[in-house]
Amino acid sequence: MGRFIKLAAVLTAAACVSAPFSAYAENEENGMVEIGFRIGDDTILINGESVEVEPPYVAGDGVTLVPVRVITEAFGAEVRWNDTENSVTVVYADVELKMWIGSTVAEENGRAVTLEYPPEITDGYHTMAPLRFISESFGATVQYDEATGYIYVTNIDNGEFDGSILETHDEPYVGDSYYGWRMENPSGMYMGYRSENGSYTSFYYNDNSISIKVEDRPVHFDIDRAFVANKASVTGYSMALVSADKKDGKLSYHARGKKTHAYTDIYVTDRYLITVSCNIYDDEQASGEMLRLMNSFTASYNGDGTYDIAELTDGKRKCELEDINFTVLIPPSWSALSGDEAVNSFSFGELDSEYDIGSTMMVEVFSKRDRNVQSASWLAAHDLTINRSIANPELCAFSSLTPRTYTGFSAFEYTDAMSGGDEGDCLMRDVFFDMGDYVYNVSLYMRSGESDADIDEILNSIEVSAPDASKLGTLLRTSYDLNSNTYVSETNELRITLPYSFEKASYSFSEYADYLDALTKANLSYLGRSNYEDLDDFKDHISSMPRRSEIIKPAAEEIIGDKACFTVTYRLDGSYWEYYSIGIKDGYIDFIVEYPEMYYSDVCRERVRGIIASIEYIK
Amino acid sequence: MKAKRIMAAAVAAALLAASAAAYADDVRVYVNGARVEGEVKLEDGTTYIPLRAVSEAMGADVVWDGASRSVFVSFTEDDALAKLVEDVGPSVVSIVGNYTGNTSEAAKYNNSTAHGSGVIYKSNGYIITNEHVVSDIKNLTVILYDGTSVPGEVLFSDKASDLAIVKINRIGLRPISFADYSTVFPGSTAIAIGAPLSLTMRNTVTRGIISGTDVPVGDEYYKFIQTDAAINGGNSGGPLLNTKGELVGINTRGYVGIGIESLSFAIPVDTVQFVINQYDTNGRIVRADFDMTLEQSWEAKVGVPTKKGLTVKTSGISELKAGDVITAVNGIEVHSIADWNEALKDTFNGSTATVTYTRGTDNIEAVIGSE
Repeated sequence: MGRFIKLAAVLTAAACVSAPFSAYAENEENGMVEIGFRIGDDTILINGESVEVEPPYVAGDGVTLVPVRVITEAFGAEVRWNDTENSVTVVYADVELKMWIGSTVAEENGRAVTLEYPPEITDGYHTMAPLRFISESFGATVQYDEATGYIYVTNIDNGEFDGSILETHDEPYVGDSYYGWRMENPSGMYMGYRSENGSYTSFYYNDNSISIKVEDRPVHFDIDRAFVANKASVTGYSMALVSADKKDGKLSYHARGKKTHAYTDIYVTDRYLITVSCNIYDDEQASGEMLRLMNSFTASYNGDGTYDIAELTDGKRKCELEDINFTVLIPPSWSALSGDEAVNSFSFGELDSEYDIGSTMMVEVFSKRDRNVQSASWLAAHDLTINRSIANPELCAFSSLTPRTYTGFSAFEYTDAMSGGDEGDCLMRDVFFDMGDYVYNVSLYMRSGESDADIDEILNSIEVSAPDASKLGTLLRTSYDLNSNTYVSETNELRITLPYSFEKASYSFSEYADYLDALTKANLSYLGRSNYEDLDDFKDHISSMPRRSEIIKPAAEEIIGDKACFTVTYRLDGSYWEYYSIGIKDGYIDFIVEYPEMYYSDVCRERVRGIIASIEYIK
Repeated sequence: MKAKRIMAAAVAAALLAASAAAYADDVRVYVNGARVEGEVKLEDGTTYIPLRAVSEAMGADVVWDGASRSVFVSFTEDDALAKLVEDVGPSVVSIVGNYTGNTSEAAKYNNSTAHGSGVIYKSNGYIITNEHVVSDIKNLTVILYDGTSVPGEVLFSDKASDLAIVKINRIGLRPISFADYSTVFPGSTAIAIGAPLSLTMRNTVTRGIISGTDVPVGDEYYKFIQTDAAINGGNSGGPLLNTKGELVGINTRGYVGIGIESLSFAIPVDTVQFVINQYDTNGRIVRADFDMTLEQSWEAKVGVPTKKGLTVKTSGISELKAGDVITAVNGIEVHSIADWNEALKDTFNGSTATVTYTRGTDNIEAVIGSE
């Protein structure tokens, strides 16, 4: 049709564009704009108000075109028309869009953008452009309501997402509120390692290190002796006593050792022995900085401006076992003893500096579907029966099965008070409760003089809920019973019939352990062949046993099964030992059984006698 | 209405006279996507452009010597690269956050931060980066070219492709252009921009060449572009570009080791495009998940070229049995698991696939999956 018509159309469109549409631009509140329209409708909703427009339509390959001016002005954008270029420019916040009629190349902030469909003019004066280009450039979202056929274009206010402040710890001090210490926290210092129960912490500052070790205060602490002992323990350091004080019955002691490139400070407080050590490079500035850090250390805690690394809740350590929906507050000196791979058996307890275990707690979870589990009351009764029969009656006193309600759950439990043994007193409580498809068994062994109230506190702190069986799966319990089936174990010398709970030991902390009973923890070992003339010969052999042993049953001749044996029973270091020499065709084969003192009863002995009776020498 | 039309006609007539003198064909000039302002004339089939503006847009140097009425335009490769970096810079971001992968007390105290790079691909705040850059971090913050920090949200992430989409609340950003993957070939120049090792090196540039395309790497799901452009720690998620400043890949991994030099990988732009399209269309990646396990030949595992196909190890599909050897899927030959993944990435229709396989001496074609 020629340029004339086109120009005319453009100019009339320009005439329309120049009239501002302020009617609804003012309806924006907080920059929120919502535009709703349907393809083909000649009215659209702008922030709820109905406005007459040129109907939006779909062109090309499903491209929705909308009246440019209306849409952009609804956002509060400025719209400008350029006659010469046949282009429309829309400015909104940081965005300048420029579109040319009939061209798929548009611009956003001066950079080329390819449109899905070229803007065009309808009816002589309405400029229509692709909805997507405009809405995306303005940061608006487009939603299509299938039910009503409405398209909603919404401009959410340009608020920021929450919480994007990077966390840093820049308190001037760092300290441990549980063990009671505090020191400066220079920026650039980072933590190298912290033990589970927090008794050992190390930091790095530049290339130097500083470590803080906390141990229990020595029982009989004498300042002079301590100083001498410290000097001996930190060889190579020149020690100086910095301060030693006893005020109001409260002891404080601080000694410092120095050698080239290192300082050691020893503090004794009313509860702990704290050793602070640092290693420095012989660099003027580093030396000065580390010395300052050492000097800033105090063996007491002050919360002002201090980042507390003792992760305690109400003075207790919180342990979460996510997979079994179980949380418990344990004493702060305890740590987790089971590893990350633990699935349904977790243990916590005290580990002293020599890695001896003090009080412990075990948490186990089993599926009720396991017929060795069935329910909390069934399992409790089962375990009580077994434990009662294998426990040493002289040392252990069992309660009966008791229903008990704790804060987080209702349970069945029994207790075992152990005393008089070499291992010291122990208060054991075995608690069983139902949770969904599972039975939970929490057992506590308190060896450090704790009371029933202490145990109650731990159990009452437990928060637990039924786990998702589809995620946790079936958890079976390895269960041994007293009347277990037996199996035959053959070596190149012997054939032995044992209950299934006696497993071939895969480790040996003693060179003699061959079989270990999972039920009673008894060790059965084969010592080899020997030749005794008679019982006296045997007695002579026995007399070479360790002096500290206490004979429980003197050496004697016995018939076990169909075999003539020499036997003796003695007690040593928290265990009972039974020595068996079984007569064979041309000599004797010797066995030794070690029973932990707690598990030594008629039932235990009978099981072993049964094994001894079955032994055959097959070589 | 009638009055307006008459007035319009009168105005139109007046303007027509004036417009004859103007250039009625509006030609626009863009250099690497950026509009160059100035008069452009089309005469007798030749386009006349504003010389200085266009040359300087390309990074060239323009010297006008009035006395001799001569213009000297000088241009080096370095100029081109410098201009490219200047143009593309605003599309590259750094991504930082607090690392949550370690829950020990030491990690909490140290507040370790992790960082990587990202590329803006839509002006309204859509950023593509590596999945491993955004996994295990909280307080995700995007640092723009001008140093502004903006909170970011992870919209989507996919471990198999190691890609993630991050959104920030900004408009008017400069998006990257995507290269056509068929134009990427070994030997062409590759430029990496990112923040290696530390944010003090934010938006620094390294350069190398494309060492290889369609490179399978270990057990990775898809194949990679190999480059010798130095790619280190914080470069992850940042762009690998061609000399036009177009995105050729997303920098992902450098092999570090004694004696290993200049060996880095980038996710090819077609995989990036695939992931973005899948997110836009489905909100997630719709991958073929047929009930069977496939095994590749030793040659495929080791990377030796082979004609051997994939052996079906286990099959829950009626059409296939253990022992069948698949040689093609949807018409594309497959010799490795990565081949299989790539073929389906390009052709999977969302529900079924046509597999060509041999069973014994028979060659069979079957459609697996359900509508």
